[in-house]
Amino acid sequence: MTGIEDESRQNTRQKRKVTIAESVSYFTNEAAVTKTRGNIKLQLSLEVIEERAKEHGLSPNVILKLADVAGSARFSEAITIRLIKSLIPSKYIPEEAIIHVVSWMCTNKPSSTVKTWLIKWIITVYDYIGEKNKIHAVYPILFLFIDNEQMCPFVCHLLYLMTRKEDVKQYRVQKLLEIQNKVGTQPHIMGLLSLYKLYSPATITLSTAIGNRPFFHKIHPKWTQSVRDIVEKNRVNNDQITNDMDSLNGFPSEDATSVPAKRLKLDVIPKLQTTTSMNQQAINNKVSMEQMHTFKDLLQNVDRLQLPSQISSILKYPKLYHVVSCLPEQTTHQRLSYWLYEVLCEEIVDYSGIGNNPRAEKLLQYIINYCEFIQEGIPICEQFLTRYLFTWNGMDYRVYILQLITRFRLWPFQKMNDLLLEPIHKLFFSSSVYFKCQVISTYTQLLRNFVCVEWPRYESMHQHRGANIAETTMQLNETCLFNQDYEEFDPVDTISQFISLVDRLCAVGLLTENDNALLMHCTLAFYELVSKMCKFYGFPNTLIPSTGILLKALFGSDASALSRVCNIICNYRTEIKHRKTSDDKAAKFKPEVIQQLNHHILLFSDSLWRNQAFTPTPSVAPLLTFEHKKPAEIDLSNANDSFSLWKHPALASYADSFMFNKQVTDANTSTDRSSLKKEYLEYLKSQHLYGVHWFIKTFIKNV
Amino acid sequence: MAMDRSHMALSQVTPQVTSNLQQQTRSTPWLARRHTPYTKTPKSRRLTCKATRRIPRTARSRTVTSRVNELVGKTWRVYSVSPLHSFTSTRSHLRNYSRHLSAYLEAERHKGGIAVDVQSEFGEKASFNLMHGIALTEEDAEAIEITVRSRSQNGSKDGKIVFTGILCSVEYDGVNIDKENFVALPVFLVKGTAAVTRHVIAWLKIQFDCRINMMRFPPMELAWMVSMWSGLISDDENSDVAVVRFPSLELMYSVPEEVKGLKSITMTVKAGDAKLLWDSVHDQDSDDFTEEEMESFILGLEAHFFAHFKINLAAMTLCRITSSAAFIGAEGRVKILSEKHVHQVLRHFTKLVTESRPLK
Repeated sequence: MTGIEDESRQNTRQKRKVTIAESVSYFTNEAAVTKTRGNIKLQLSLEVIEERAKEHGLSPNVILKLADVAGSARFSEAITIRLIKSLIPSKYIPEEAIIHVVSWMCTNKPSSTVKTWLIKWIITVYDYIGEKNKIHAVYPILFLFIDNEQMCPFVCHLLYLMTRKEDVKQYRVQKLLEIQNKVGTQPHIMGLLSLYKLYSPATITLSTAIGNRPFFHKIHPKWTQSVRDIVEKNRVNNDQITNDMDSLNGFPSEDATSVPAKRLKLDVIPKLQTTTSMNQQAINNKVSMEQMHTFKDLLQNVDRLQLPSQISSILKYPKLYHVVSCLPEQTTHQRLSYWLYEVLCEEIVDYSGIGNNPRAEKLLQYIINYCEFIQEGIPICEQFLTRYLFTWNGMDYRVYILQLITRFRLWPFQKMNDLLLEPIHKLFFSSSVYFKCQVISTYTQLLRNFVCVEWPRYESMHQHRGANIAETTMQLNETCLFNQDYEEFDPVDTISQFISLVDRLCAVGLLTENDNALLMHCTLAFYELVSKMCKFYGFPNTLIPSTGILLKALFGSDASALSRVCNIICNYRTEIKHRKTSDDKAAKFKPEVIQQLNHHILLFSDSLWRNQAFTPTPSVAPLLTFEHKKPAEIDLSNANDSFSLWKHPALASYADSFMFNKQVTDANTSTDRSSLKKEYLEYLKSQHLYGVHWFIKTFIKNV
Repeated sequence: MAMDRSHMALSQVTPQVTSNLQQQTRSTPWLARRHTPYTKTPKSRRLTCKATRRIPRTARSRTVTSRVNELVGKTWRVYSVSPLHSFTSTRSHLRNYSRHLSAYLEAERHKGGIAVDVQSEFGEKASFNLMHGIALTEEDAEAIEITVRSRSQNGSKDGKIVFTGILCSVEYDGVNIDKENFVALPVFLVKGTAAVTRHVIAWLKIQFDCRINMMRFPPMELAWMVSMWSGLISDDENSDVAVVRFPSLELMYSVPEEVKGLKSITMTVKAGDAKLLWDSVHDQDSDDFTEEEMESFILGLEAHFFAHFKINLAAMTLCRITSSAAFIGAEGRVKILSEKHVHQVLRHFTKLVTESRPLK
């Protein structure tokens, strides 16, 4: 070969002149000299083709011609193989090229080695064959090559790519098993058989021990890569993306088998597989889920999908959730429920190790994903949780458990209190402030779930209650996936009681934690939701925070808390206005709530704006008075204005920097107090204390 | 280990213990909760089965004989099984299952991975059969027996049985399950080699989408069983001659690790003596055995042991019991000792499985 290379180097100048068309015509010319040694023209042509192929790929027409030449093996073996290697498509491979090649393979002309190379070539470019309708006809012919020992692995690989459901025949299975008996277990035969099993589960049984080995060797990674690169490059150049690659994420792709054995052991969720003992006819029209690779597949086959034999295996594949969630049968959900309960008990309750069980963590994460997808809690998980919470130490799986709690269903309050809230509260009062914050945040989300999802769901169930049974079950399926016992109770009452319970919890929590800032913000976040529930979700009952919480925020030293609490008060005002305009008779505030809210508003404006925090306004009963005897040494003469906008401990630094800036920018202009106050309010707004600004704008007339 | 056995006369000890216990239970503070998250150990349990002998369902079954006696005298491992999905016990289906399980076992036997044609003949042969006589009520599905024979050797037609498993349910009263799609056979008795057992269970899990777990009996459950079943000697047999036939009551306690040189303590009581104690704690007219009765019985035995050896058995872990009905190990091993008690034992297991499941 070195001799040839030397020659070629000498002829570089000549080579430039040889066009690709001339090179191709040299090969296609039947009369051309086929000897290798000393044949400069042959060398030149081949090099031109190779170079062209490596840079741009060959056009379909050229491929068709050269594939024919390669198949005929008129030239020496080395030349033919070089030719095959350079059959890199620029865009796609014409179908005829493959058919011609297979036809040539049926003759005696190409040697076994060349035939093997041709098969390798087909595998490499398989994804780029333009149309694949006709080539499927050569499937039975290709199957015959399986007897050739040299070709067998590659033929199996190619067949693996080509097999369709109708190709799975008993005699082919027999043939493969025969070869297996002769040469022992081979990965490529197992690979093809595993595919056959996929299409026809009732015919073959495979050992599970084959799970983590690749069936087929990668064929010349460099070659495959260069084919891919060139096709991709041309595609981008032509700016036409014909085949939108659907994200494989969330689908059971073939790569699943490449998960290391170690990680498989960690996984409690079974492998996705479909086995059946049904007879062949019953499942002929069915398609198993393992065959779904893109969303398009799923849409096309959605009516004839066959569920996997272990339903829980879908938990791993988010895209398959779509299928399961639109199935009307309760059986599927029941299967999942049975499985989940057993596994949760096994992995969490009966786990003998110390700390978190990694398998359980994974499982819980899958359950959370599934719940988030279906926007609904799984009843069986709730039952498990209520059982587990009773002995929960507040540490294990905390994130997951709190996350699962946010998806709880509505229950009568007594039941919810006994089963869910009480065990958590025991931990709440004995745990750190961070746990308290987590619990309050969880409750905020749970409340959102109640008013946004569960309450409407209950109402629609309640409405359909009167309808006949068949209709009811149908309607139920529309509102929730999992069948549940219908219990007669007042959901509004449950939610109201829940809110007032959380209110008390927050108040006590703030007391024990010395007004921890984080806990305060969690509490305020909860009330931000409560104060908007009528407007956003049409919830008919509104509860206002207990005075303790409001005062802690008002007189605290945290400016952002002050701003948020002002915001909340304003929210309540919008709620009341919204209610007055809405026709819904049920949605009316109770007079005492309005009265209480008015008190709060007065108190807030008294202390922030009117400098009389502790002077009772004559028209209303005072909320704050110094009933207790104050110690003599404390001077309270300035108490009234010490919580005004200017002097409020939370806002002191803002007031200071405002005044400082003011003196710097316009030292000479003397402005009156009221316009200065307005300016200061704008300044607070610019410092993101929107609540304060909004409150004053809303409730004080002259601003 | 030297202090193994002590036979005793019990009648003097018991009354005193009972009264003590009643005071204790009265003072137990109960939470004022209306709902409890877990299924509490019931206050009382039935001693005997409600139905005596099941009425044959089909005309054919007149010819079948009860095979209950096949369960007696063998040591089984007990597994709990969640409801089986799409399981049908018609003859053709059972034959189909047999073939598939055989193929599966054949494939698993080869470690390197092998494919097996379902239609061919196998060395290891599994078969599914109905086992009549175990199910009692209409709620119960007929029991299923699964046997696996090893490949035949020396030209004999059938190989050795390497695995026997019995899926059964006795007086199933769990939650209503969807009978069209699910079959409840919550108890799985297994006797076989470890590898085959593993494979059979794996196959069942895949085929019927169920979970199968080994059942374990905590000391409390063992205490329940030993005290319930100690009295199950019918009175006419309670003569001195008959009592000899019954195995003695035996309780094995494992000793905490801190105690050096002693692993376990076994207390053996003559069946007749146990029966005397049992009669004194149990209300003769009732078919139920209450929690108080159970505690009195166990405390009675432990107090007697303390009186003799100054060893407080309550501080040990009860790990194995033998009564006239059955031998039960905490790790899930069971040997039913007489044909009469097969249903009682299996009924209790069925109950234990359904109690732990709040499934709807």
